Amino acid sequence: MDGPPLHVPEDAVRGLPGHVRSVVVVWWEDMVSLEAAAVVLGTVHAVRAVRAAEAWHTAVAEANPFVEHALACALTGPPELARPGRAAHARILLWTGAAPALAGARAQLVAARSALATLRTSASKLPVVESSTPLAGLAARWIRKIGARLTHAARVLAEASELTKPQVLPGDADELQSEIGFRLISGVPATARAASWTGALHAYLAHHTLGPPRTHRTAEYSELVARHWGPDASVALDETALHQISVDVPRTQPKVLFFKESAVTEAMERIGVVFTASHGEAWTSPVAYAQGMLDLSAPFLLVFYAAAKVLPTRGVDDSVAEHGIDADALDSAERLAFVCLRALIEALAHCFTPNREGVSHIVRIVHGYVADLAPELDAHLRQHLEYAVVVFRWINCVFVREFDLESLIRLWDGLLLGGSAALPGAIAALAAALLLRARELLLGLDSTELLMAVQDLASALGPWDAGDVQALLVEANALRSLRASKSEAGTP
Amino acid sequence: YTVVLIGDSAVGKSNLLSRFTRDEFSLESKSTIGVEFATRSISTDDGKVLKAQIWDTAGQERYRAITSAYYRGAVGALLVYDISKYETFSNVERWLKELRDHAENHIEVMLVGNKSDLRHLRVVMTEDAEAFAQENGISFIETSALDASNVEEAFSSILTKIYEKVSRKSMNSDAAGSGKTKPMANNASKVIVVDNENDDAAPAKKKKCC
Repeated sequence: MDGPPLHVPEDAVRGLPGHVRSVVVVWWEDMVSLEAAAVVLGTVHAVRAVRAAEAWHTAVAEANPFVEHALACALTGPPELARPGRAAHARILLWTGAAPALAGARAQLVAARSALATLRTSASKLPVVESSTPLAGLAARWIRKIGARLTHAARVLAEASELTKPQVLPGDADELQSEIGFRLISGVPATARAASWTGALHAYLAHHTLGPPRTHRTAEYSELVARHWGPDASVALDETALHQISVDVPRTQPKVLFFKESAVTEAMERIGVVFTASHGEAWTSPVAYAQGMLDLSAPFLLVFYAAAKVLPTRGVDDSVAEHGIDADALDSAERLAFVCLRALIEALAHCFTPNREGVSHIVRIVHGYVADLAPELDAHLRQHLEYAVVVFRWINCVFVREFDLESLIRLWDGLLLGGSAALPGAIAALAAALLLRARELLLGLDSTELLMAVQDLASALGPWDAGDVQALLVEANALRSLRASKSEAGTP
Repeated sequence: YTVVLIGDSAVGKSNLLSRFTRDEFSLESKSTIGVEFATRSISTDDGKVLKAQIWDTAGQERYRAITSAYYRGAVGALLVYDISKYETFSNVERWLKELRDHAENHIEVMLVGNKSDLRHLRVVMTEDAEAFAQENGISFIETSALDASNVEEAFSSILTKIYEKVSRKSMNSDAAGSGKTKPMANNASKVIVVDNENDDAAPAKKKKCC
């Protein structure tokens, strides 16, 4: 039987941290059998594989690099792709960017597992080593430690692998886009929602806004807070606006426990104040605070807080009731929520100007859909009311007031990520889809009853489960394709 | 009859409305976006049933362009302030101007000091509000949507006043026989006011010169 080599092979210890390396070297030199040598090699292999798996996993879990990457590609992306193609490209990069990283992490995890198995086998064949020796103790500890890290890595990988749901992607950009859109309608995995909402809003802005591209980094929020928040604010907001925000904050999602927490209301107030005080500055919102904007911040705060806590959104209230608010999670949620609110308002800026031209534009599209597809409903509605009365709040709050938060978040999945069409058009199609769904109900009512019913139409059609929301999104998409094909047929 | 609820944000307009139409009050109410609508009928002393359509409006100034469109069809307005917030009372004058600019000339206006249950926080004195109402020729009442005091009275008083005004006018105009009918917006159930006082009045539109 050959003895073990006298020196540790350089391969085996390359890249290991110094203290592990020195242990291995000492250990190696004390080796008395090949079996014991196998333990060392197996350990080294396992440690290294786990480290690699963890590094991959960190990259995957921090989805923001992919968001940044997608944004960068959207801004600078392949010039051969047309604008909508580039938007799709960015979104797909965002969506699938995690896939190679996950594949790498999985391979490393498999290798680490097999190394651990080798290690266990070898350790069990260590007759020459007394169980009381430091060597055996060390081996046992390493096995336990590595085993625990592997279990942890495997769990997080399983969560992160949700990111790679669209496994098979067709090659053509348009096909890719519709494929992705279709998948998004059926629901964004909770683990990917924060990253994909952020990324999609930014990619959207990169393609739909005029003027120089803006940066959308959460770091800027700290600067804005320093400038506009608290007694030391160098550029404070006027009293009227401050008062307006302070009376609206407690009236935003007042029935949800999360939004009753003082830390959350303070975060929301800070978002509102900083948003309003900084509007008109170089990289901030073009419009000032209007009631309803805090409503728009609420789904962002909840989704991003849930993401930071690795919880489903419906689990947030229970977690808050049991453990209180996690300050770090809230802080990261607040930053992201501000950036996303700003992006969303910017995408809908015309809806918030004093004369609300954007709202009138959307109302006209909604009217067009209903008049085309259900002329009797259109005649009935116009006899008794104005479309604006029905859809104003829907548009102003992007349906936040119409649905429970869980249904709303699914609706926003489809709205924010459902293709490169302009957001106002997507909102119009959803509003029309909602009205068309209520056709029978509305035709049976007149004047006063009708006015009462349209104020709470989504509830009247509810309760909504995930499937209903998905169906509504599909209907809205169908309306949009219909309109697109019509306008194509209409142009020579 | 169409009545509008106007006044600053968070003075309790929506809760006054829900107290009157559904006998409900909520500390967890949301801000009103644009306009909201509710309805209720009441009976007068002489047995007539008055049907009120009430439009609740957003308080924020930025919504004025949208909400002022609803003043036009209204025959009554409840101008609400919060007795515990002085600012909401000092803004009453601006709201009156809004009404003069956008509403019918003969709109019945009632000043409503809400949240009268917050006695220990009162900053607007009843006498001051009364004096202001008298100066401006409008009626006045203090209410609490929370404990329901005077809510019923406020609405039925303004509705009765509107009813009396309208019946008086239609009698006058029947006698004169030369009234002009003015359809108010396009809602079939709104009352039509017969106006014979001002021949070329088109009060709904602001005129630059006369």
